[in-house]
Amino acid sequence: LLEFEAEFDSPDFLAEHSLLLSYQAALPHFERAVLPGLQRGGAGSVVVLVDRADYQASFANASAVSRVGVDYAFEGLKLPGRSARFHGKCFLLLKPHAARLYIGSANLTATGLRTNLEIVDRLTVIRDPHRLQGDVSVMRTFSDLLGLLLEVSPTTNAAALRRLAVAQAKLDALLDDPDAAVDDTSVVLLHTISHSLLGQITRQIPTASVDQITAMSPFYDPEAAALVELCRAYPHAAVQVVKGEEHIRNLSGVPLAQLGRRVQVCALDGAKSSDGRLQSRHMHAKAYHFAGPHGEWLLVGSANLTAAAWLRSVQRGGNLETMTLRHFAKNTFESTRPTRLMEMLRTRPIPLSSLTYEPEPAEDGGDLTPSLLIVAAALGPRYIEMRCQPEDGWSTSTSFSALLISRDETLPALVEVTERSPAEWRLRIDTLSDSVNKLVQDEDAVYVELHAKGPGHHQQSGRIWLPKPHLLILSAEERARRHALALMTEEMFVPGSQLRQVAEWLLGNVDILTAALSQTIPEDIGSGRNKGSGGTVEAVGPDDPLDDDTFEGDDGSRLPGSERKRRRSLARLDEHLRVALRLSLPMFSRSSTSSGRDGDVGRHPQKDNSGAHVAGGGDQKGNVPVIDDRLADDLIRSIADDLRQAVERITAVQATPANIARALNTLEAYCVFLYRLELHACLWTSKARAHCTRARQFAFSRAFALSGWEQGRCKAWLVRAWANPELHDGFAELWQDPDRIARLATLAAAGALIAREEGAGLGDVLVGLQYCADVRSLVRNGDLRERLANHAKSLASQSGGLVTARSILAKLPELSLEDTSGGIALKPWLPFKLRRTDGPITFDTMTLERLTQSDDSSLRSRARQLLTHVKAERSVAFLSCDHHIGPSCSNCAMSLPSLLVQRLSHAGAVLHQCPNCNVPLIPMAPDDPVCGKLLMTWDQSVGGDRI
Amino acid sequence: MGVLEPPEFPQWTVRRGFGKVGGRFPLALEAVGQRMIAMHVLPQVTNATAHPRYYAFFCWVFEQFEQRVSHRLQERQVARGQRAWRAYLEHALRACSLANDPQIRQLIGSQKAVRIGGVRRDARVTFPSKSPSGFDPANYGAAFLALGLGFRQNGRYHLTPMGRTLAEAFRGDLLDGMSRRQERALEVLLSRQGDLAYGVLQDLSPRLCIRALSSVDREHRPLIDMFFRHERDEPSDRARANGLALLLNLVADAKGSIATAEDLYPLFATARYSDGRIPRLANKALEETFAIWQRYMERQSQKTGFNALWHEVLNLLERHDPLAVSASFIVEHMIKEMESSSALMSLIGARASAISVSEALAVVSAKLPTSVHSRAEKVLRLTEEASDQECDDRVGVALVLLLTVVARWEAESLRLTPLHIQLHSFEGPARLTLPWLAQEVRNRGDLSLQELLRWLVEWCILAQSVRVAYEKLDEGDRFFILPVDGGYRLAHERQDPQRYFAYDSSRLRGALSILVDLELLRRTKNGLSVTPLGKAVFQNLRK
Repeated sequence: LLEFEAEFDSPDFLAEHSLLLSYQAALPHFERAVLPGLQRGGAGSVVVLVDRADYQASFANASAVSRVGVDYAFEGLKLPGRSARFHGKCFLLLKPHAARLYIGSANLTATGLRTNLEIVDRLTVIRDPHRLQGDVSVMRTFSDLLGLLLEVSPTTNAAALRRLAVAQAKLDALLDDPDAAVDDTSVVLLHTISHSLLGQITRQIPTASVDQITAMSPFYDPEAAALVELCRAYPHAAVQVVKGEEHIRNLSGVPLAQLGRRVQVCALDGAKSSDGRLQSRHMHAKAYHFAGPHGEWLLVGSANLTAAAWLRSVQRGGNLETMTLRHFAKNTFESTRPTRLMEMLRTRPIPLSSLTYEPEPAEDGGDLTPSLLIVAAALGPRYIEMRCQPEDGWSTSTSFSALLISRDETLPALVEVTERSPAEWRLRIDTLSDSVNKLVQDEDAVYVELHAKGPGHHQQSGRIWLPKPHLLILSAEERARRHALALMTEEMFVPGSQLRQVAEWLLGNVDILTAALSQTIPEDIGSGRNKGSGGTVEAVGPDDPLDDDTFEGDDGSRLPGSERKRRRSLARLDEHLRVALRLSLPMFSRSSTSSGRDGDVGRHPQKDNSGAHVAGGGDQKGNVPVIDDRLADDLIRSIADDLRQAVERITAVQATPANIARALNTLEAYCVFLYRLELHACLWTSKARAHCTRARQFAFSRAFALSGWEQGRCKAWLVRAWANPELHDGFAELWQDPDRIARLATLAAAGALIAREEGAGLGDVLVGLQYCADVRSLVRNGDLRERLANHAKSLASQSGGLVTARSILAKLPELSLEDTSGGIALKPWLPFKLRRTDGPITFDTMTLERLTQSDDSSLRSRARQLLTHVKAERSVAFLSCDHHIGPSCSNCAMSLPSLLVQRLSHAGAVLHQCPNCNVPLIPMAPDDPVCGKLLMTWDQSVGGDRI
Repeated sequence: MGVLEPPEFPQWTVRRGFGKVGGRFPLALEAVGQRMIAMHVLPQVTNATAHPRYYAFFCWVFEQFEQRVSHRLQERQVARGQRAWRAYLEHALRACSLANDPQIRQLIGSQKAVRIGGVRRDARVTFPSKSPSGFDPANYGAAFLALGLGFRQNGRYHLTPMGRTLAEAFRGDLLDGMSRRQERALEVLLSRQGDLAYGVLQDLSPRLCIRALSSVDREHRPLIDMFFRHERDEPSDRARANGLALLLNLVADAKGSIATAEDLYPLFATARYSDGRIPRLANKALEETFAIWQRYMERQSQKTGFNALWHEVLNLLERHDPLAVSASFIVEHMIKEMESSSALMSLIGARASAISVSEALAVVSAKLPTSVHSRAEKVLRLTEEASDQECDDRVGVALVLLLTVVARWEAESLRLTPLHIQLHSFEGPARLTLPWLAQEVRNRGDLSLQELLRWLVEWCILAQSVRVAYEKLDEGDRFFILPVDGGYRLAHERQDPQRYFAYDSSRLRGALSILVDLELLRRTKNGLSVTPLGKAVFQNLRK
C-alpha cells in the first residue's frame, strides 16, 4: 500500500520543481499537507494546474488559502470542448538528475490524498553519471503530452501555458540522452488528446486475447455508454464492474441487462489495510484489469467508465485522461501480478435490476464557472493587466468594478479598459496607490473579483488568483528564511503589556525592522539606488535590497525626509506583520506547546485574567506539528550567520553620519532578532545555539567593545565613530532616545545570561555603550533605571522562564564612567577580582590575559609584566583624566608629566610605573581615537591644550 | 517496467483518516464575545467558579500543609506532597458537602465523590484514585492565583497575605463551636495517619463543606473584599467589582423581573426591563460596564446571523448525506431561498434580487427605528427569529439580520469609544468581526444581494469552517463539514443547533451564583432580590 501524501515529502526524493496536474485541488489541504514537503530544497518551484471549472470552485475556500500565487503557481486549464474536462491526475516531481511521475486516480484533495481508495502508478527516471535509466519512454510520452496540451488549450491562461512549457523544458533537459537505456516497454502512458482511450486500448490489447475484464470506476454515464462499448469491443470477455457503495444510484441497469449474463456488477464492501483489516472506504479508483490466456494487462489512471473519458478524444470534445497500461506476461512473478490488487478488495454482487441512475448534487449544481471568464491576470510594475472573454452579445457600454481580496482585507479598485473587442477585453487596475500596492506586494494570496455591468442591470462577474512573480521566484531556502524571520517578528507581538512595548517601539522604528527583515544589506552604501527623480519615488519591491535611500531622507536623516517614503516604510512593516500573522504552520512551531480550546483560531497562547488559556495552537491533546530538527538547526544557523555578516558589512565601511544612523538602527533590530533566535535555539536545545551566541557577541562587540584600545586598535565601529570629532554632533543625536540605550543594555545582558557567559565581554561592551551614549552609569541613572527594569521584564517574559528580570538587571555592572579610565571593562564576577586602589570598584584582568597572547611581542611582554604585577600586588593604576588635574595616576592622583603620558601611549616592552606610588600604570595611546577622545574631552572641559 | 522501481506498482493508497470529527465552534466566532466579558466585565469569574467558599477552603488546605506536612518532606517532595494533600482534603470536602446537602450543584468531582450517608462509622474510606480537582485551572485554580490569594513557586503554592487571612477565617469558621468529637475527627483527618473511618467524615460534614456563606461567617468579609476590591491598581479588579456591582444594581432596580441569567440578555440588548423601564445605574462606571454588555449583545446578533447560514448549510448537507454537495449547489440553494424570502420581501420589496447591496443597506437604514432602544429591540427580534429552530425563512432572516446589524453599526459606531470599537475588533477578519463585516459589506456596495449572499456563504461559512478546522488542529481533524472531491459532506453527524445558536459564554450564571452564595442576592419565587447585606455592599461601593 502506498502512503500517497507522504510521497510528496519523501526524504529520499526532495523535489526542486513540481508540476501537479489534477482535475481538482483542495488548496487549504494542499498548502498545509503537501506544499511544505515540495519546498524543502532547491528552487522549491511548484505549479498546480487544474481544470478551469475547479479553478473557479477554489474561491469557495478563499479565506482558508494563503499561499497561492505567493509560494506556488495555481492555474486553470481550459480544454476546447464545452463540457470537456481536464481530468488527468499526473504529478511530476523533478530534481536535477531524477524525476518521478505519479499517474493515478487521486486528485490533489484531502480525500484524494488521504481517505479515498485510490490507485496510483509511480514511474521514475534517474540520470547516473553515465546514463539515463528507468521509465524513459513513459517520461518522454509525458513530455509530449505537455507539448500537446500547449496546443490544445488556446484559451488557457498564458501564464499556465508558460509554466507547462517550462516544466516540459526541464523534463526534456533531463531526458536528453540519446544513449538512454532502453527501458521495459511493458508500461506505456496513454492520454486522450488525439485518440480515444478505447481505441488505444483495443490497439494495445488484442480483443481476442481477453476473456475477463474487471472494471473499477466510481462514475458512469446515464446510459452506461462507455461500459456498453467496452463490452462490444471485447465480445468474448466476461465483465465484472466494481463500484462504490455510495454511488449505487449512478449506474443504470437497463442497458447492462441487454448485454446478457456477461456483465456482473459488484459493490465494494471494503479494502484490506496493511494490517489485514477490512476498511470501508470511498472508492475513487479507476482501474481496469484485462485477463486472457496469454497474459494480463492493468490499466490505471484518471478515466471513469464514461463516454467523455473512453469514447472521445480531446480534439473531439472529450476529457483529457491519463492512464498507464502495464502488461504482465503469463510467467510474471506472482507477487507482482494485478491479482494481488484485486485480492485486497471485498465485493458483493448487486442485481442489475436494482441499479438506477440519478445525478449527484455535486454534478448538477449550478456551474461555478462565471459568465465572465478572466483568461489572465498579470502583476506588472504599475498595473494588474487582465484579459477577459465576455459572453456573446454584450455591448461595449459595459462598466467595470473590481475588488482585490486577500484574507485580511478587501480593496475596491478602479478598472481601466485598454482594449475592447467582441471577443476579448483588456483591462487594467492601477496598483500605485499605497493600499493596493501594499496588497499586491504582500506575502498573502490575493484574488481579483471583476464585475461587469451591462445595460438593464445585467451583470457578469469573474475571479482569478493573482500570481505574484516577485515571490514565486524565491527559492525554498529564501522562503523558509523569510518565514522564520517573520515568525520571530510575530512572536514579539504577542499580546501583553510588556510585549506591547516592544511592538510599539518597532512601530515607531519601522525602518529598523524593515531593514532587518530585508536580509541583505548592500555593500554599496549611498549609491543612490531607488532614489526618485522629479519628486517621484520608484517602487521598491520586497526583494530589492534595501539601501540607505530607501529609508532615509536625502539629507541623511534617520527617518525618511519624504512623507511618501515614510508611508511606504510603514506599509512594508504592516506587510511583514501580516505575513507573520498569516503563518499558521510556522517553521518554529515547536514553541507553541499550549493546548488549545475550541472556538479559538488565533495562534498565540494567551491568557485571560483568570489565567486560563483561551487561545492556542495545537490540538486539544497539546500536539503540535513536529518539525525537522536538522532543518530548524540549519535555519537558525543560517539566519544567525546572515545577521552576523550583515553587521560585518555595515561596520566594514567608513563611518559617515548617514551610515552611522543606519548601522545603529539596523544593529538594534538585529540584536532584538538575535535575542529571539538565541532563545529559540536555547529552548529547543538546537545545535545551532552556539552560532546565535557568537553572532550576538559579534554584533555587540563590533559596535561597542573597547578591547583593543590599549593597542590603539579598537575594532568597535561605533566607538571609533564616537571618537571621531567630525562625527561628534550627529552622533550625540542618535542617542537621544533613552529607551534605545536601555534596550541595548538589557539585550546584551540577557543574551549573556542565556549563554551563561562568564568573562569580560559583557562589561567590555556595556562600558563602550556607556561611552557612546554618554551615560555615566547605566544603573544609577534615574532616567534609565525604570526603562532598564521594563525592558528586562519584557525580555524575561519572552524567555519562557530562562532568565528573570532581576538576573538581567544584576548582570548590568554598577559602573560609572567616573570610575573607569579608558574604559577597560570592570566587572565583579571575573576570576581575578582586583580592588582598585582609587575606588570601590573591582575590575578584570581579562584584557591583560588577552594581550599576553598578542602577536605584537613588545605588547605581549608588557602585558605579561603587568599581569604578573597585578596578580601579585593586587593593585594597578590607570592613566586617569580628572578634569581638574589633567592626566594623572588613578592610584595616587598625582598629575603626570605629559612626557610620561606620551611614553605610556607608545607600545613598548617597558612597564611604566607611577613616579609617585610606583604602581604600574595601564597605558593609553593618544593616537587611538578612543583614548584621544577621552583626553580631548578633558582637554576641552578645562580649556587646556591637547596632549 | 522501469528497472529502478520495485515491481509493486501500481498500488492502492493507504487510508489516513482525519482523526476525530465534531467539536464545538466551527466558525470560531465565540472568542470575541467571550473576551469582552472575560477581560472587561467579569474577570476571574467563570460559570465553574460558582461557590466562593472553595477559595477559602484551598487557602486553608495550603495553610495546613505548611503547618503540618511540609516540614516532614524533603525539598524535592514538597510540591508533590502538596498536590497529594490538596487532593486528599478535597475528597473529604466533597464527601462532606454531599452529605451536608445532597442537592448541591456545581460541586467539582461530585460524581466520583465518596458517599458517606448510611455507612457504618467504623468502615474504612477509600477515596477514588482519580477525580477532577476543583483546583484545576479551568475550575478555581487559575482564578485563585489571579485573585491574588497565592502564587506558585517551584511547583508549590504559597499563600499571599490575603490568602493567609482567608485561611485563618476558614479555620475559624471550622473550629468555632466545634464539639469535642468533631475536633477529634478533624485532628484525625489532618493527621492523616492510617485509614480514615467514615465516622470522621460524617462528624465533619456539617462544617467541612461547600455552602452558602452569611455575614456571621468569618470568611464572608474577606471574600467580599476579594471580589469587590478596588484598591489594588489592577484593571481586572475594578472590572470585576463593577461587573458584580452592576448585577446587584440591576437586580435591585428590576423589581423582581430578573430570575436567571437569561433574563439579563434582553435587558442588555435593549437597555429596557421587560416592563419598558430604563435601568437606573448608580454611576458612570456601571454605565460603562453596561455598555460593554451591549457590545456583547451586538456581537451575539451578528454571530447568530452567520450561524443561521451555517445551520442552513448543515441542513442541506444532511439532506444529501452521504453524497457530496458542491459549493455552487449550496450557493444556488441559498440564493433560491433568498429570492423566496418573505422577510426580505417585506423589508425591501419585490425587487430584492435586483437591488444592489448599498441600496439594500439604505433601505434597511431608512427603516431602522430612530430610537436606539427600538433599533436594539428590532435586532433582538431578528436574532431570536434567526435562531428559532422552527424558522422556515432562515436564509432571508439571516440576511436581513446581518444587513440590519451592519446598518446599525454604521449608524451608532461613530458614537462609540475607541475601547468599544476595539472590543468588537478582536482578531479582525479571522473572527469575522463586526467592524470588518461592515467594511466588507460597504466594499460590495455595487454588487447585487445575490453576490453578497454568495460571498457570505463562501467566505464566512464554507471557507471559514475549513480554515478554522485547519488552523485549530493542524492535523485537519475536527472538520464539521468535510471538503471532499467535488464539494462538501457532513463530517460525521450534524452538530446540535443548541451548540452554535447559544450565546457566547457570558459568565453570568457563575457571577449570580457567587452573589447568592455570599448572601448578597437571594432567590425568591419572584426572581432574584438584593439582600440587606447586598444593599450595604452596594452602597459601600457607590461611595
